[in-house]
Amino acid sequence: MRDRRISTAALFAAGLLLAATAALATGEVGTSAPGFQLKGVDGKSYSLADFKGKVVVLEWVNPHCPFSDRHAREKTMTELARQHGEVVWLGINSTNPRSGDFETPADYHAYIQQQGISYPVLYDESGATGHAYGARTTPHMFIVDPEGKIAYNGAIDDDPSGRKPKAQRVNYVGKGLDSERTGGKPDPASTKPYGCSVKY
Amino acid sequence: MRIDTRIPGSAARAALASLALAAGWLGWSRPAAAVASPWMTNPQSQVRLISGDLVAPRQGELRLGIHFRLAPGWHAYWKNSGDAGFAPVFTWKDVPGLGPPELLWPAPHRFELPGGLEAFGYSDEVVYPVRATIAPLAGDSGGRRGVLRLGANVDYLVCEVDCVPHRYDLALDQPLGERAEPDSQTAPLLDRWWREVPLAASHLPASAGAVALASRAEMTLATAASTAAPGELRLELRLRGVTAAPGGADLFFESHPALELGRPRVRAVDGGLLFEVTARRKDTSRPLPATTAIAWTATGLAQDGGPARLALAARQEVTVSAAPPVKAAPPVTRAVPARREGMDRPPPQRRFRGFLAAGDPRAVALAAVAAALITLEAWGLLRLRRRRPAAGYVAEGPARRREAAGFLALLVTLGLLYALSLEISAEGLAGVELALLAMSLVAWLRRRIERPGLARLLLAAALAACTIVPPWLAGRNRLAADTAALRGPSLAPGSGAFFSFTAVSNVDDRRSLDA
Repeated sequence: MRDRRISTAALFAAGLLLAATAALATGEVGTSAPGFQLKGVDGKSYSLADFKGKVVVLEWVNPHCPFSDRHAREKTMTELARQHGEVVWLGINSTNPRSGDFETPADYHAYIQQQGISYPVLYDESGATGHAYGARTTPHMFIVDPEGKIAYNGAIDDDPSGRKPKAQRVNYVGKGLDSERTGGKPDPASTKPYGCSVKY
Repeated sequence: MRIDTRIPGSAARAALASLALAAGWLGWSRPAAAVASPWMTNPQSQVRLISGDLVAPRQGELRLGIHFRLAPGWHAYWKNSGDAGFAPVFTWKDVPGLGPPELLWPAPHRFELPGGLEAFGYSDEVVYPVRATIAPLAGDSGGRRGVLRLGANVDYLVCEVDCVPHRYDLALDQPLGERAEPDSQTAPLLDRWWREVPLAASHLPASAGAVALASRAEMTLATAASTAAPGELRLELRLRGVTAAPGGADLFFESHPALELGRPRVRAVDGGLLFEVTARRKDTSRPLPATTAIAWTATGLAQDGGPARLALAARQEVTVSAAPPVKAAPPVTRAVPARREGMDRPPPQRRFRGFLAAGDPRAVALAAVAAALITLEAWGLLRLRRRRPAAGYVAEGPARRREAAGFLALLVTLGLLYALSLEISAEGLAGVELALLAMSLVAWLRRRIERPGLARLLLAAALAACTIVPPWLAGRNRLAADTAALRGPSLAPGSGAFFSFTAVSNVDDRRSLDA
């Protein structure tokens, strides 16, 4: 009898797990931002729920990707994060530990120091958070509004190859954060992200 | 001119790629009679600007191309790069007397990336054909202008799994003369890649009599009744008069501002091909626009009397109308002649739906799972109830009846799978069948373990997972053919908003037949 009860419980558990996976949204603007609890390169644990009521920017990163690395070197993100001090900025690295692009915390910490990255970078080794948001590229940017809804999904700017001078680029995230600051909604709310594929 | 000097990936891989490219280049080192810029070379790729003419006429069309050779495993991009990357950007130097060059995009291929991501582009070699027009210079009697100095800046990305961006200035001097003299090296190369450029879908090749295809490309987009995700739509593109070429047909979309268009499923229907695509709204907080353009490219097509592989493209202006489900049959659908293939004959699956009262392939899949479980239980593989071992080998009366019931349940399972085959894609059905097979295997393994323990518990969990998978797969692989547009009012979604996109015109004849 006990065995049968265990089987039934296992069946329910598996069912719930699959149902939960199927029900996950994939980062569409206007939907609730999927929650997460991830460990940072700094060893601390970060949860989206901790920042309820604040605007949160999520940036998918990979130091081995030339695009992500270029924005780190050009300080695109750190400067924007500094300009918008009211915003919580989180980098998320969904690189699979088996990928050649995976960085150990020690190496990652050195890279963060070297590039002067001012915000926490989180490990999403399973890729679950990346998949939940539908993150495809590095960088791939999301703005989560104070109500916990996704307000922007897309590229950091309109210059994939970085050929324009920085001042001439349209920084979609910057524009979106300006709108959020004045109580408006980002426009455009979605763009096509560019960069390397996330190394799931 | 590289904007990034990092070479990602392992050194060995880069060395191998360089070696392969070097080997290719040795084969290329014939005397360079071609009108072409020098090759620009990096470990992942080579690029140059080519002209199809040793001497081009002083007035008229000039055929150029951006020629790429890629190291094994690396790819360059189509105009929609897919989930990652970006499309190449070609910036042309202003040349007096030369009209703005028009870039053409050869039919793309699909590349799988880790994590279920995909890219659209080209591997090994690609020429992006470029068409330009030379206008006569005012006061030029023909002798003064002997050469056109052409220049282009090329900004492109190559990816394997890692990506490397490159940027080069390419230049060539194009001799001009009274008559065109085709280049024996580059003209055939350009011809070959020109043929890879999709035809406007409103046309067929001249060999087929230039039959208008406007009425042959029908597109509908409707809410997907079976999916739980808000804002999910199902797009269908029906191309008549074509079949899939060896290697298979595929469908690509240009990036759409409001819709995320997924991976297509294609199947042959009577007189053509049907592409089914899940579309998700990028922004669920805003209404869909009233009209929108969907630009598509269908590749790997075949047609009687046409070229071996044909690609078609169109930008279809579609209207979005919020209409009640039953009366929503769009005019274009009514104009379609009687269809005789499976999804239009009186659907036998309605009978299954009738007694299952669910109208949902997930319910059919669940019923198939239940019937399979009954079979396993009847045959003693599931052993939900512990029974004393039968005395002796001879089956007794009740045992025999139970085993017979097992066969009956198996028959029901097969019937339900047949019903399911009318509702879901072939891949989905294969998945469901595999899950049922896995379920039987797990049950058999579990039966072999006598004592309760972790192994038995794990197998029970695996068994549970196997029972959940078929309904899930059935939901995900549901065919869109049961939308109101194709199956008639009686099977239309019963409630909620109903959007129908109706193709009203083809507005992008990007390539004329004489091209």
